Amino acid sequence: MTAVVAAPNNPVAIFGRFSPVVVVSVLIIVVFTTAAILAPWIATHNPNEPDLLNTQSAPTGTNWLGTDNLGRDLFSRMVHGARSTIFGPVLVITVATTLGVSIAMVAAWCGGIVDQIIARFIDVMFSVPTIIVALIVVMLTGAGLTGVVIGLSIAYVPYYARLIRSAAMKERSLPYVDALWLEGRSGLWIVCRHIIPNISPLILTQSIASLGLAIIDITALSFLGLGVQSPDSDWGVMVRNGIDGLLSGRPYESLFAGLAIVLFAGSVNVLGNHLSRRFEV
Amino acid sequence: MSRAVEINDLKISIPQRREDEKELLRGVNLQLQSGESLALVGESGSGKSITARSILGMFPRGAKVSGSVKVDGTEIVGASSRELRRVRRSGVAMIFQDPRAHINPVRTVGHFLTETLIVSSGWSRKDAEECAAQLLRDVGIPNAKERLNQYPHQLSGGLLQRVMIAGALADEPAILLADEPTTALDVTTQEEVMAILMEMRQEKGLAMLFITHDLELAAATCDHTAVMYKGRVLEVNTSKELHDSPEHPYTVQLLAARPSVAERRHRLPVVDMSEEQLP
Ligand SMILES: Nc1ncnc2c1ncn2[C@@H]1O[C@H](COP(=O)(O)OP(=O)(O)O)[C@@H](O)[C@H]1O
Ligand SMILES: [Mg+2]
Repeated sequence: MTAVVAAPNNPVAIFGRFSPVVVVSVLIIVVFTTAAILAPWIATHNPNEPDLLNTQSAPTGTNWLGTDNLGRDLFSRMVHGARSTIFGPVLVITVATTLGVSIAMVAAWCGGIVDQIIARFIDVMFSVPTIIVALIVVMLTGAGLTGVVIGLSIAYVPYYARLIRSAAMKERSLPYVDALWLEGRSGLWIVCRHIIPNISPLILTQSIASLGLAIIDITALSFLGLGVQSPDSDWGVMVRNGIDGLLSGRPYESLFAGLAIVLFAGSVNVLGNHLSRRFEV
Repeated sequence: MSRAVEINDLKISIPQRREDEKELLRGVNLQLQSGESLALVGESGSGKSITARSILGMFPRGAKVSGSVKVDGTEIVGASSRELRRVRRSGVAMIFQDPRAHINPVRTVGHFLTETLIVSSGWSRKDAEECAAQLLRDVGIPNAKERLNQYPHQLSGGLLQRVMIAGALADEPAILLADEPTTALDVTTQEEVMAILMEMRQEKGLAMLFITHDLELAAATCDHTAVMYKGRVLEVNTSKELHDSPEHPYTVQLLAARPSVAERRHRLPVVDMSEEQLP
């Protein structure tokens, strides 16, 4: 924390020195994310247009990564699929963080019976596996990206709430909070302007660490056919769609999509670990 | 002279599960006149800090409180949180023994000082920064503009205590509660900070409750001195009277056991009193 304080405007001071592995990870994240944002301009083909005369093709000059079982261009499907694969989890984490932090702050600030009720509720939610919570929500909303995002957002809340609650409890017991209180600040002001900013390194680190998990979870749900629906693509959908080819010696679709998931989720995890070491949280 | 603070028969206790409840204050009576300085002296654990915090309506969690605390005529015991905020913002300011622990460590000095002005008095950021720099100059901090951009850990304890004093004065309070503001500092810094504090008090005509365990210091700096022991105020008198002709046997013992100049002690010696010697 000390170095963060010393030079808050210097990125090296905030994020620490990047090792080569971290640099490569950040590069991968940046490249994949940029590709996702610019998908319509980068894609060489319409990702959903079949070409039945050119199915299961190996990588060529026109189809850089080959084609799938319907002759759709794999490269174009990969970059379009990157959108839901990357921004779905980002949305999940954003919602879960907001909810988790709010609940944690209410618990830590109110204490007493309110805190006990919230703590029990978190415990109960913890005992249900993430995927099950997501499945229940998808059951209610029907298959599709929306249901999966809502489901995972809810499922991730207890992880944040528990961690942030204990950090907020510790922060709130510090004398400077008493001093602010004695200066006549309101509870809401102290929470929003002092406690949350002071534990923001923890919140950021936890968010990035969970982002890695959310990518895996969301692609897993897509793989199961519960997320993004045909003809749209997503890396989880592609891994599944490529299984036939995989079994008949044309592994490109599953291979490339699987590789993209591993590379991206791995990079996010490397960055998350780096940050958590950096902030000692 | 009007009464800035009036504490009557204040009792604070914490109910315990098994044993008898823990009595922190056992009927404190104390008056602070406007513009006057009152020293509150007593060994550590005697309830000085709790008394000071009571004036701002901050009682220990789960405590049972009875009696009355009036600040400029406003009753604090049982006051609504809105009313408490008003008193805390405008009337009374407090400074603490350990400024490093009592200032948000990840905010700049400038932020610490301007927040008060912006929140309590509705100043613009630019005006507040101007004023914050002036406040720092007032408490004798050179290069005020640069200091505003520094973080607490970049300042020495003495400087930081001056920052805390500047922050306390920002709201132009009428009453200042100083809870052992120099105890954690080394001797020379102690004197400097004390001098600034007295100068500010004089200049602004503040009423001050000055908590210390140093009877000498109390006598040298405050009009009146109150002696506290185990949750009670044993004796209040003008500092001179109390020093020259103490009435309560505890005060006599305190004075007798006073640390000599050659061998400066930082804690008062513990003096044991039997219950019947107490009022
Ligand atoms: N929040 C609290 N809960 C329970 N006991 C407390 C609390 N704060 C202080 N005490 C107890 O009250 C007594 C007086 O404390 P304090 O006013 O801080 O003493 P002093 O400032 O004179 O050293 C001490 O015995 C302390 O342990
Ligand atoms: Mg104390």
